[in-house]
Amino acid sequence: MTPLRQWLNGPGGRLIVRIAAAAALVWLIVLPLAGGTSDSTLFTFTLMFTGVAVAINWNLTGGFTGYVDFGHAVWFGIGAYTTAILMSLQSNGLGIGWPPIPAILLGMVVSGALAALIGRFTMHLKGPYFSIAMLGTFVAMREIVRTWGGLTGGGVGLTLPPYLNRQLFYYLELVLVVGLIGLTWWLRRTRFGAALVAIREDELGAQMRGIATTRLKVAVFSFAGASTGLFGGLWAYQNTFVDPDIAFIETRTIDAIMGTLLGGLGTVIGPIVGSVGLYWLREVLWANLLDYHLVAQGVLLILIVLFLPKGIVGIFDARAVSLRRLWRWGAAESVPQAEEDVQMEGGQHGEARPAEPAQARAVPFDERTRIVEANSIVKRFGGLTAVDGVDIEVFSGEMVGLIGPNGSGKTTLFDCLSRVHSLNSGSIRLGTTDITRLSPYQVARMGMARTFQVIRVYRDLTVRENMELSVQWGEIGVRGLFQRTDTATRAKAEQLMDFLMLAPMGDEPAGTLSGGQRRLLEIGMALMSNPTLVLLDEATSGINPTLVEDIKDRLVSINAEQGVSFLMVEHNVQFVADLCERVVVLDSGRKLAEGTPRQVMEEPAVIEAYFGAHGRQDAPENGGRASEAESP
Amino acid sequence: MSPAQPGGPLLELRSVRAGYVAGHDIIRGIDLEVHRGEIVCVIGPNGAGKSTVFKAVYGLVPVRAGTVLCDGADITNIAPQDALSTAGIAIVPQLRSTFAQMSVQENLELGMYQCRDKTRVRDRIDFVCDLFPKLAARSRQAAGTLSGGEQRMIEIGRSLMWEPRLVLMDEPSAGLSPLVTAEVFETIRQLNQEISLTVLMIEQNARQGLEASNRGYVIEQGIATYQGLSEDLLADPDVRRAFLGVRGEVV
Repeated sequence: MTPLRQWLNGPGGRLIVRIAAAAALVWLIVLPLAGGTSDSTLFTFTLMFTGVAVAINWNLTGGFTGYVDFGHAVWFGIGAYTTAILMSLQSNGLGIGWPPIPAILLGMVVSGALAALIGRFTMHLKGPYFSIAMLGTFVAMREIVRTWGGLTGGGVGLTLPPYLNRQLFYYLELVLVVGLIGLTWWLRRTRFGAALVAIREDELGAQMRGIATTRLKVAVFSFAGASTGLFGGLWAYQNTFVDPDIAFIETRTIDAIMGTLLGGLGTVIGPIVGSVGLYWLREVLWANLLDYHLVAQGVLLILIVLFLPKGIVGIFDARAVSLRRLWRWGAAESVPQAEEDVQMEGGQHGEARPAEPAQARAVPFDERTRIVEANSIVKRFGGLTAVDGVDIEVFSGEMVGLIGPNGSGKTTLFDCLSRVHSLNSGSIRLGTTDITRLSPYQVARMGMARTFQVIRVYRDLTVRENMELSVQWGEIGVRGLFQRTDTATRAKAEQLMDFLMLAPMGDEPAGTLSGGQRRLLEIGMALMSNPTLVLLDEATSGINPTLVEDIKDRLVSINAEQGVSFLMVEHNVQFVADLCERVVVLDSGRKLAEGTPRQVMEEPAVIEAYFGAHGRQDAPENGGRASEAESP
Repeated sequence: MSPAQPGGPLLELRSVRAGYVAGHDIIRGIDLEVHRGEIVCVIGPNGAGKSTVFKAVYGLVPVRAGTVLCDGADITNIAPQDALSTAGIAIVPQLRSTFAQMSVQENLELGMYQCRDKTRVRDRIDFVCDLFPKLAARSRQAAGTLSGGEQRMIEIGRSLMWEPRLVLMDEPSAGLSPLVTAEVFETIRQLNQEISLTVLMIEQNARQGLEASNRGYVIEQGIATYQGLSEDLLADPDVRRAFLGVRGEVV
């Protein structure tokens, strides 16, 4: 399997795939010109093109973005009905009938606009709630059409003027499908496409890296709706008749989902291969088994889902996702509540070296301005007050440590600052702006980057894509959204990956990295976005001590050269002591102490709560066995 | 700390190769042994294959070559669900593995999920609660409401439920404050002395991990490159430079 996969992903395989695709295209172009091809055969083919297009559109939201839509056929029905209503105005005595092309185009526009409107509301829902809401939309729309007899002809339906000619529509749909394939292929390679995958992988994480997720997912949902609406209109015109039960038919959604699953969810080729495969499978089964063909089809599909969870394309393309992955509804959404520290930690307290003299900072202290200022922040979870009236401020160019026992509210405070949690009371300013009510993506665009205690990398994207996707989204603009990347971003990503020793893994999906490597990737992603303030949440946890030293040097130089401020939650006290001029200690959601590392570490309350009575020697001058363990 | 008197190796890996993707081995011929009553610490850079060694022992990743022996019996590619019940090896994984919505007691009970003898389960819970009085006080509380250190205690306690011969711990100090980290290592040492628990652990907190153990291994790029008594590793200049973050020359 693997050599085959390697070969298929290599130049030879790509050539074969291209030749096969070109041959299929040529065959499809020549087919209607060959003698003896009947109109009904052509119509069958156009129906297959329609099925492929609907599957591609479904895959845009269901596969790439991870929003599994059970009611996608509603856009097909709306496109079909809009076209039918406009074209049959005359026969209904309501005015002049529209010619087909404008009617079909308007059907597309209406579907897209309605999709944008409905998506605006339903796409706030997660997992099965979204799926069910869309199923409800579908059923409701069909019944509206059935009831609104004056315009839609009710249950009887509408009859359209006769069509022009099959061949024309055959070619039209062929061109449209090929165009749609090209468009999705291109889209997947832009920042937009990568951002959609990021939304699927970890929507909250994407927001906190500056991606305006709502806007993007509604945009793609609306595009998919418009595109399916277009094919609905084309179908209505060729079918010359619509009624609610054939325009709004569930199997159209089910076929799109099954085709995509069969081919490979979340890939460009998957829905094409799957829909065509499903189509031929059905024909073969129908011809051979007659009454039992649906049973056989069902059994075959069950077998495929069981034994080919990533579909046909998934055998060759590791990027295909299984439905099971998508169905882990919202698993990545949960934010650790009031509870710190998950996962691994290096916690290496290092060997004490004479604390470095205060680093050369970009800005002298008295000229500094406050970068972030949070006043009496209170955050409760049920009866638990996780953060209880904490004031914290960071000045430009400053490095501040935030330490405290497990469960003292450090990560919750970070989540408040980066706007994951709404506050129960208190206010936060970033620069001169009040950010208390802003969204995570907005503060990310204002230059606040962060890493996460529970690692948030996009597992299905490669390491390089993860890095390149973490640009400053506030600066890329609409044009940047449709670029793959740019030279500056690429160079910066390469340089950071080199430093973080991730370069050899650049083309591997981030899901294959070890725990510590993912943490390194997160640090890289935070630094990609040209931040002015970085919140590091146990960034050195699980990272080899020697590399921790290098990271320390790197942070110092970034701080000195670019004036970037850092606020860091750390259990590695030596790291904090070496880097920070000021340390804040939290305990049970309250500020226990604040001062220079030395002051704080000598505070009896801090020793008791954090280091432990005997732990004073253990940290930060850990060990005490080596002669150099003495503090200067 | 002097090493405990070794018996025959309790766990022995002989030239084990394993990996996730066909044709690409993450560990490439590891030899490693753990004797009864020992605490052994594995250190090494990120992505070296340390966790994969544990997964290979536990049947979570296919072993492609070599053998894994437990007390002389071949357990290569054992089914994960048999590792505890048959071989007597418990594991404390790298990522947090408490069930947040279940009570502390239920979490502990899961450590003997396959055991049908209810009284024995109750006895073992009492035993674990004796070892960890903090857990006893909170046995009805949902595990997710406990602090990070307490949750780690649940995980360690759970691993002890079925009287394992050997416990594999993947970064026991992960994400814990200095105070709690010291407590965890102290607990491991005590368990080792009081119930002569045998432990194989992975630590990025290499200094404290080695200080708590008898012997250590360094794993780099899927191969065990150094091994020796913990104090020798702690004193070895190469190990210090490469894995303990000491840069004597720089300072």
